[in-house]
Amino acid sequence: MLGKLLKYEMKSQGKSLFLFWMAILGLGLLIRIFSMLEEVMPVFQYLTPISIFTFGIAIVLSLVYCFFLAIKNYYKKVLREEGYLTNTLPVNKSSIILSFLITDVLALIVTVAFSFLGFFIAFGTASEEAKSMWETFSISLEKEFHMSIEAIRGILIALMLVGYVNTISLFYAAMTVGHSFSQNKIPSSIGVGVAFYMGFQLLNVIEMVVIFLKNKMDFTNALATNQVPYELIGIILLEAFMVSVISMITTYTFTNYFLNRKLNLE
Amino acid sequence: MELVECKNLSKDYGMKKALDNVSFQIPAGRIVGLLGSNGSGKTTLIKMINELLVPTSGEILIKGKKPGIESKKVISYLPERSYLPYDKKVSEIIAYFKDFYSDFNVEKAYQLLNELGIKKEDKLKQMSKGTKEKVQLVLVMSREADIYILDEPIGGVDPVARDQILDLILKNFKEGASLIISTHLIADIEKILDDVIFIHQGRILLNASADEVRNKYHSSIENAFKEVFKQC
Repeated sequence: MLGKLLKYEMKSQGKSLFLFWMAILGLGLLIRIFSMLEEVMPVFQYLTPISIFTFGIAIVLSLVYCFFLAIKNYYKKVLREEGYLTNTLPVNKSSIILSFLITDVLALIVTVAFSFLGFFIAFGTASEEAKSMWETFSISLEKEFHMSIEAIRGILIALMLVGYVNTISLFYAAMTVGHSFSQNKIPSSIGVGVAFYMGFQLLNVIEMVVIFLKNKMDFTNALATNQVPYELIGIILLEAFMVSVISMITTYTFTNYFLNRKLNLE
Repeated sequence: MELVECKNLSKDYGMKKALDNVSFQIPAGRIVGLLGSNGSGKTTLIKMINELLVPTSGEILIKGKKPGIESKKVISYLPERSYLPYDKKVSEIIAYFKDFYSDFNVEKAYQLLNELGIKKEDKLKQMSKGTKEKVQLVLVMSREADIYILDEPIGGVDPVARDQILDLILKNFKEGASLIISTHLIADIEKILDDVIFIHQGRILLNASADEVRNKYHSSIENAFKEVFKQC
């Protein structure tokens, strides 16, 4: 049943984001055309920066809309009128939550992919100078972190995705718990969201203090020698990842429990 | 085995009791009228059977099991409001139902839509409230379910369309299945009822067969309903 839920949710999100994706590609193409025409017609020297600016705005807007859509769809389809349909389907509540979370992540990945494609259309491949700079930077990162650049890139992408899912999952939990109340559902949702957020921030602070106390000397040395403490950065990133995973599991569990045991659809 | 069994069911909203110690059973093959004025607790009760609300206390059993995935497979439920995605075409909603309910009969759905003059390419957002309600009813009655629960199915339509809707309901529910119809428009549905449950302020005032009620009060169900309510 998860597959069926995913099919409908992906179709719905794809339909909503399609225009944004096309706008990104279209603007990318426009930048390329304007840049080529710059040499022949000077007016395009003014139009190119404007199209680059619009391109940037389109990417930011599509990423923001992606997030907005993730929250809106869950609210509309699970907790409002359409919830009468979703919550009476013969499927597990966990499948319902997962279908939304997986679709949200995929929508983000596709939007980022379209943004890269737009960049490629607009600017083509990177210049030799940029390539050389990236290579130098990659080598220094590999040396400091003692791992390949692919691994570093993978870790950073995983961190971002976990962070994104974690944020959405927190919103889902806040809305679901807040809507289990009979009155003041929206203020309750906000209150629950703030409580979750504060709780996880507290956990973050505690872990940071522990990391600092455990590696006090390394921090002091880094400050004294004015060197970037790469190893400590790695530990901090790992800590952030762990807190995100804990937060994600907690909020998912809350959402699942409240949808199963405390649903209060009015 | 009873199809639906409610035991000492209560639902509180803060200090307010929406349902107060409600118990009843619905066997197979009956048409049951859940009758009561607005705010009497009918919808609350139906939502609890459909697992959209959780009771404060008491127990619900559907074919002997607590509400869950299995009960959703055998209950075909029509809520009292528009609940379908308004941006979809009728054909898309039918495909959706077909995907999730193994007992959904696509041919029957299209046949009923055709009889009602509704096109499959029509979008819900372009339909009137009454037409939307008809689409919802067609979807619900196109399932070969064991229990049909219809919450105010004739509440939003004009008196002429009411007969058409009741006809559609009667002709299309599976043999041996039970039908629960909640309404405050008693006169319109009393002729099709086997059993009645009178509900008022969250409490069941009367639960009997329609014939027993008519014999006891020497009147129609609607008049009996008025008389019972006068006594509270």
